Amino acid sequence: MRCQDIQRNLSAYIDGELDSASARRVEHHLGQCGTCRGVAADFRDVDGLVRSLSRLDASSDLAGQLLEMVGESRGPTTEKGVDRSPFAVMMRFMSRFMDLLEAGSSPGTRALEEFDDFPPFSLGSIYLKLLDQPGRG
Amino acid sequence: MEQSDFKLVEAVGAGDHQAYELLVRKHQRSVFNFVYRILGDRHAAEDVLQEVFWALYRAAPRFEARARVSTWLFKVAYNLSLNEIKKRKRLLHLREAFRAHPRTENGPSALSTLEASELEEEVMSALNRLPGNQKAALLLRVSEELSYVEIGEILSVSVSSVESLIFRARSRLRQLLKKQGKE
Repeated sequence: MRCQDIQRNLSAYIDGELDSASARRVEHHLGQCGTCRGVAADFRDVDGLVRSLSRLDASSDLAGQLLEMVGESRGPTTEKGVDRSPFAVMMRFMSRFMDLLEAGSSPGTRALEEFDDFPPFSLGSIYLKLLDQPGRG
Repeated sequence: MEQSDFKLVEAVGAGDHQAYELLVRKHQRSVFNFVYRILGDRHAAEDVLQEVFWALYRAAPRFEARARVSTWLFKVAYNLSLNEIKKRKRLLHLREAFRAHPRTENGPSALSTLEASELEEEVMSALNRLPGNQKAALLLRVSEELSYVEIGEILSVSVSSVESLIFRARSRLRQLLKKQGKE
């Protein structure tokens, strides 16, 4: 095989990504060709330099910040007093609206769980969330 | 090991914050270093890192085991990094429109001499001269030891394209670093 063809495969050979027949051909050629051996060595040196780059850490406490964001996305949860956040107000309104629609039916049913793939903030999703609240399901 | 990552994501989808914290702490360093090498800017990399893990949280309830969790994270990180680069290019063009002497895009690396040795700066400078997809492919192979199949999924290219990207990246770096006398 020509050196040009071998060198095109050198990257994959070094990475162990060649099929065994191609890998054997490359190996055989490298055993006889100093030029291609030099290129392979250079590629390995390049890899070594890239690998030697410092592994840095993000300066901020990412996990802590994300957990805070996650907590905030659920909205404030208070068991005492009335939660007056816009989201909570909307949820109370929807709860009463759904109560009107479902008057007389048992809130304990779980039959609707098979449809539990509504997009978030859709009426169906909100209704299912309300059913899951303590005292309602 | 990967099964436990998927189980953690399932737990996150069920509202388990501890599982989320475990996933973040496990993968943040790899993802951060990948994004940092792509963007060359620590602050931008931290912003992207946060977006990546926020995306994981939102996707967790519907996460399917089609790929490793780490592959998914790198894919999102790569796409967000590309968006950041496009945004910066637009800003750069706007800034240059108001500048008497526009800077070239190959400005000084974000690495200060306090953070890196001179050799590291040379290597980073050479890396930064590669096209983005070649740099990403090489970093994912060499630093993260991902397979060509995984790299292809992350970069949304075929395995043969990955092979070509990595070959060209190594060839180009070999040329650049030889010129700088580092090999």
